[in-house]
Amino acid sequence: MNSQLKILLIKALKFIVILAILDIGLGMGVRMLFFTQHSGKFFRMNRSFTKANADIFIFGSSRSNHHYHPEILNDELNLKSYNVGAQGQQILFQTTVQKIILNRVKPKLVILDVSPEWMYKSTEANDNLSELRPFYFRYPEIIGPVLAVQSQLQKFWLNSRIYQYNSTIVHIIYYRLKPQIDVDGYVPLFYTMTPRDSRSQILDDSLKNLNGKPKSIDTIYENALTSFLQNARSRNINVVMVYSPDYSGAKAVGNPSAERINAIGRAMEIPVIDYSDDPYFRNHPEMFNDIHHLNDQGAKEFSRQITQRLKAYL
Amino acid sequence: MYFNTTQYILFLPLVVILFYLTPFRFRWLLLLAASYYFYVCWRAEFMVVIIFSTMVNYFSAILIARNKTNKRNKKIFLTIALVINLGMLIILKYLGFINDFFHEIFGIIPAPTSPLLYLIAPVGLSYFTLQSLTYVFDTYYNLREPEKHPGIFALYVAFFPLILSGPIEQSTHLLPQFRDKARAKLKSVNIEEGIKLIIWGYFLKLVVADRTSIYVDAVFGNVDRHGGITFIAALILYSFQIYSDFAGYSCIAIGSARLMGFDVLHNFNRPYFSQSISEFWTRWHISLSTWLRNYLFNPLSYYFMRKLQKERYLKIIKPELLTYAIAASITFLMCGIWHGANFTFIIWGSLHGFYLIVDRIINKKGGNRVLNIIITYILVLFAWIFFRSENVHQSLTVIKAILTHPGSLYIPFDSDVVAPVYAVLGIFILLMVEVKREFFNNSFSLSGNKNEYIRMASYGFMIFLILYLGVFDASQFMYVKF
Amino acid sequence: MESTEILKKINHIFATVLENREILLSRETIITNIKGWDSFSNIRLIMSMEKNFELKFNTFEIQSCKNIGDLCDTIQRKQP
Repeated sequence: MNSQLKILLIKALKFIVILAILDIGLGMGVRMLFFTQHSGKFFRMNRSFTKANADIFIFGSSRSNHHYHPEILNDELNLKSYNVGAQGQQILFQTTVQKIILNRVKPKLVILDVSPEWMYKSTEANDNLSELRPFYFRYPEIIGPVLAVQSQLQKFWLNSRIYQYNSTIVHIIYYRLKPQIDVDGYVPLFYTMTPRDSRSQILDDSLKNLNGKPKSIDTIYENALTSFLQNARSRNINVVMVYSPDYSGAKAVGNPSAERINAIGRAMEIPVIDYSDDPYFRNHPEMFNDIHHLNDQGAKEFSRQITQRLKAYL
Repeated sequence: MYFNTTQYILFLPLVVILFYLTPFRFRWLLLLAASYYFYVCWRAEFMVVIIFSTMVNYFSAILIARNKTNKRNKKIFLTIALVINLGMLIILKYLGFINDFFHEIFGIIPAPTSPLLYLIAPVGLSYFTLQSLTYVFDTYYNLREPEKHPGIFALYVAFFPLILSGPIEQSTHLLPQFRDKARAKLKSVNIEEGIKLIIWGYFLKLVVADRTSIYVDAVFGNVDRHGGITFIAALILYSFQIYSDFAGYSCIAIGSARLMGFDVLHNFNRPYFSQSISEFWTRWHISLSTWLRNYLFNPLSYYFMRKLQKERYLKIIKPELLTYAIAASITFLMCGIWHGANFTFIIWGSLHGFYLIVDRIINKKGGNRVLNIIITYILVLFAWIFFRSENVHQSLTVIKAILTHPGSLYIPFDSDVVAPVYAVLGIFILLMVEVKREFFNNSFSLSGNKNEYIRMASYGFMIFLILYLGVFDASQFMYVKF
Repeated sequence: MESTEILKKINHIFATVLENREILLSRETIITNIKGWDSFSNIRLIMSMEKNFELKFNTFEIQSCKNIGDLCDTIQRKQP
């Protein structure tokens, strides 16, 4: 064999061994670093996967996260509730975490807070699925397929223990320095939106819509929603969909994506509670932190109102 | 295919392995096929342009060489070649812009509605056109014999590591390498150097460039809303974005070529450590500035120098200074135009030309190194305003904001806030490495260490940083647009 | 003129234009590597050499000189 080739192959072998050692060694380090978090979104995700035990689980995006106050639900319904809302996450994420959680506990009720645009294909939402990467090693059969939606080669890169913790360090440092308050998963917001704020945010939103690409319904999302509802059903768990209050005018009717959500709800006989255009909240802008999220005061009020409606499903 | 896709990561090793398995005689064919495949992955129609360009230059060089002694004929063939090459470039890239310009200024020519005016320029056109022209010029200046083998010449034009965004090679440097049998032998040092460059390139692209772009795009996408402080922050991030994007691309290109034993000209040499704009242009986009100096600046300065020497009335200004001013202005105007069909690029280029002329007039030597670096960086940063803005109006808005209302630092909403922090982290690591290389080059080196285990561990650590901090969805290399 | 004389004269010209008395050129010295050489001093060097040797370079000749040796040979060739 050519001597240069021999040298090269030996070098390559050494390099692969060094890479493997680094990946395992440094991988252990970053994994440990990740799981020593005491607050923040990853901490809450981990807690919901491993520890949270409640009669009511609330799934959804940041709107769910900031809108449902477990203590109020607890007081009114005499049932323990837990908020699994996660910022930027849409239906694919919800279905995945629901699977993980329901493998461990059996609540009485599952609430899915939906937004009207959830059935539209969204690269942003797909990108955000990467937040599941750090948990891949624990639930590969559940998380693997979902990450593949982002890109096929995730399967390959996920073999690296370091890659599994990609883009987590800034979060870890930030919440080490500025711990996030949460109450059983609920994260309160304390700002009160001014008329100026709402005007400029509505303007920003409409600009984004003008410049954005035309929206199309994604069948993968539709299937995921059906899956979510089915998962609860098949375990004899009650499930309810809720459109929580929104100040931006994004209504749950007259919108193809929302129509799909409602249609799926009807087909499976799942109740849909619609607060998206609720007059009470429309007339109380001071309950909002920004045009899409209620503040703590608004969340408490909304939680009070929603519990009255939920009593029918318990 | 872009460099940061799985496609390329599979394509490259495959080509390299096939390269060493192929007998030397047929390697040009393998590389040419690979290069054309690489190019077709972009758009099959673009192939027409590359093949046409290749044929024009191939025959021009042969005709020029045949007329070695006949100065007039030689000039004619050179001119024809120049007209066709530059004509193609102008029509495919600038026609829409020129049409708009005449329409606005003179009102003639009806409003641009024909789609033909906005033909999409084949990717890499600006690059391989210049690379091919070095060949034609070098033959004209008797610096080399024309390449008789059409396949090898075609390879020189389309060589896949360079085809998209350079470095712009010189025919006297790269073309002979394709015939060099000794160079083509497998050497483990080439593989190691190639991989080292590629890893560093991916670090620059995935850890630094891709993170910075999010904040920069958000700020420049909404110019009327931001204050001076935000713009300064965005500009600083942009300066690192454009550097790491382009330098990262270049490193991957050079590293890929190196895997096969080819030595490609370097494109960047830690440009922001330059102590003057003059020095900046010896460290930034080196292959382009070399091209401009050899084929535009030098010929222009010799021409004007001779003409001006005869003028008697030039008592106040020295003829060599005036020569420099004219040659530099024209050269940098062309440099600006080459970068794109927009007035912002023209202003950017002319601004650099202006900097150079003023620098020459002041002619200050020495001074504090750090201060020189800072001043030069600020001048470059100011020019980047034009380069980044979509139009002149935007640039002026930015400048006005910086000068008149600082405002407060824009902190993006929700998840977008994370990206700039990663960007700063990446830039910090980048600076650590570059400062070490620039100022402490003789002390202990990790990646250049004699001990191979230390070297390999340093490469591995770089890969760790890429996996831990990098962005993994395929976003575009910026310079490919040119 | 002998080539050693040409070299001496070139050395003197470079020393004057680049304002560096210590400069010592050999045939192997690569022109672009000389301390203080840049595209501006290049213009002045060429003007100075044309004046001193009483000849005119053409673009081929300038482009093809990579080191001082090339320069010496070119000048010697062009001597009347």
